[in-house]
Amino acid sequence: MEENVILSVKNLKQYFEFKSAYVKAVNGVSFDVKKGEILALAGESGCGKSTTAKCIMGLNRITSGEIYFKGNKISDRNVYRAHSKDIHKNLQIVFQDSASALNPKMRIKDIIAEPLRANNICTSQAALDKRVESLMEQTGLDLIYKDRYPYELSGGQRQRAAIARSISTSPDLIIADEPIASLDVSIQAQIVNLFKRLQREHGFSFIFIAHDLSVVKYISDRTAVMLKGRIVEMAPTTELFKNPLHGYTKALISAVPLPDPIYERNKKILEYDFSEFNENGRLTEVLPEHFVYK
Amino acid sequence: MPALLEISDFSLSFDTPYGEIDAVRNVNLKLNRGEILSLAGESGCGKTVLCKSVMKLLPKNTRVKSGKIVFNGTDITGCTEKQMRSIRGSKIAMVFQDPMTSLNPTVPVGRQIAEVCLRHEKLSRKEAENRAVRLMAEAGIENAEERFAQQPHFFSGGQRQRCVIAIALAANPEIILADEPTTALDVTVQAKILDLFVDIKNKTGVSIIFVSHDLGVAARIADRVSIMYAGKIVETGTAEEIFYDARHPYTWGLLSAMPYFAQRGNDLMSIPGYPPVLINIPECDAFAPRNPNALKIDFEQEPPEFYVSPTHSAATWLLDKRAPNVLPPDFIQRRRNEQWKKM
Repeated sequence: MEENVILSVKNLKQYFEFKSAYVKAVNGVSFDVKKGEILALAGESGCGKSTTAKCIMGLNRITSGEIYFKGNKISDRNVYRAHSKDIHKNLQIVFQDSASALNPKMRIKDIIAEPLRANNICTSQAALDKRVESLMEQTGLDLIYKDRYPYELSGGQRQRAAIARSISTSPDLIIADEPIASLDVSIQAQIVNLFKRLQREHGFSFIFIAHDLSVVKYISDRTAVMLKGRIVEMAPTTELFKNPLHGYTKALISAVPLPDPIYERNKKILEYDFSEFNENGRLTEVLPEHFVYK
Repeated sequence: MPALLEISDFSLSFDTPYGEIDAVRNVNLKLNRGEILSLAGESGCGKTVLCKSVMKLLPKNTRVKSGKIVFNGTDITGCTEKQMRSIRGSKIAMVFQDPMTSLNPTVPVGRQIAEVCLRHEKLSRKEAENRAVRLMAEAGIENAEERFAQQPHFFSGGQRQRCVIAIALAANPEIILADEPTTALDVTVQAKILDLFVDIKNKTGVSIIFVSHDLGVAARIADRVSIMYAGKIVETGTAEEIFYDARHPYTWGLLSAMPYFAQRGNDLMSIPGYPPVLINIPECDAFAPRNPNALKIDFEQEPPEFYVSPTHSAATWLLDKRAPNVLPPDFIQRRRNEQWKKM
């Protein structure tokens, strides 16, 4: 295993049984996340991006495949248990809907302190308080919200609390599953800036799951486009947007409406013919670092 | 030619236990025949309430404080529920955000479309059903005849929205109010639904008010754009005027916050703070606390509408003769210059 790879997913499959048939939610996904890198998983609803995240977090019992976190094969339950302390501290997730991700009966300060308590990071109450305050400051949450409950905060502020919680244990990898999808444009920009700043300061690796390609283009170092439980194209972000090779990626990029009316009126939206999709294809390196499914 | 729909000086509030919420404040809005007007703004700015007040679909604690809504030359502000029923659906139709909640889950979609035809026109059941099949095909549903008898859960999100659009079209309305109709959809599906709206407009000449929080969507579909903030329309203009020559600091902020305009590696320019709560709004520019370039007068007096061109107006003191020369963000200046060169 390469030194600077923090997470490695190999041929991950997750099938769900449904009326004696299988829904192949994730169907053979492989990728690596390097240290300090922002990898985006992009795709439309139902393409398997959230399921991939849940598999990495160990929230699903995966059908087959391997997941290595810092060289340990955490897809194996025994290995997971042996390293559970390390995994719980160093692998964190931020969900889309902060209203349901935060316990409504806990105060904001307790929500942020919970991972610190569970991982025995702060031993004294004073140190814990100090740490929580510093986390709230880092994520731009006013300290008056310390004793408030989640429902008393707006969506943007709640998402800040969820982010404060996820970075509280100084993790090595954070998975953010559509963290800005339910927010307003101006608040989205605030949260995206926050992620970028925190990533710069703490140097954690980051899997950013999103359907909004304009945000992906802006934030990520590398992008993987998913369709039907597979990665159809993966490349460094600038390369992917400059030179999309898979038909679906092209269609997806052309469908994003841009704030330029004259351009938009003359734009022809490309369509992807799903009959072209090869069920038995594989991801191959077409150009250096640029993988296409065919 | 007079406008098809004209809302003038319209204010509306809700009585709540916490106080009076001023959801819509002194709104002036015109919708011309055969155009798509996009109403854009953040959540809670009053876009939906404004649409629903045209349809009179508001709860009992609503208080209309001033203004009138004139449709086709007649004032509909004072219409009774009975009179409204002959307008809703047949003259003005509405498409809501979530197609799952606006369709009845137990009734086949074809029957839901035929129901509207029967209600508003003298047709036999058979004729109405044929009409419904035709409408479904027009709205882009393949095998319309077979799908006529299926319940909504057989349809995907995009197809459901197509059914809702077919219902809206059923009685040949003059106006369609589309309230975030593509927000719940994927981008590739969204692109098709947006094209469908433009298609329908070109074919039937219907006027559309298209509510959206996504300025990209507004750019794709709209002839004219109105930007709303805290219950007020702060800027109105043609799509070109808004996207290439915006004048209101809030519009600048909204555009700046889009990743499209950001340079990789730089921060996104976000609007600081959060939108205001609409209770006891002070008599000043509601955007002033979030505006880094706010003038002293912004905190003292509400700005009137200033006209930049006959079609372009903005409510900001920056357009006053006495105002200092505050320049818009670089990328907007750049875009304006590029557009001037082309024209």
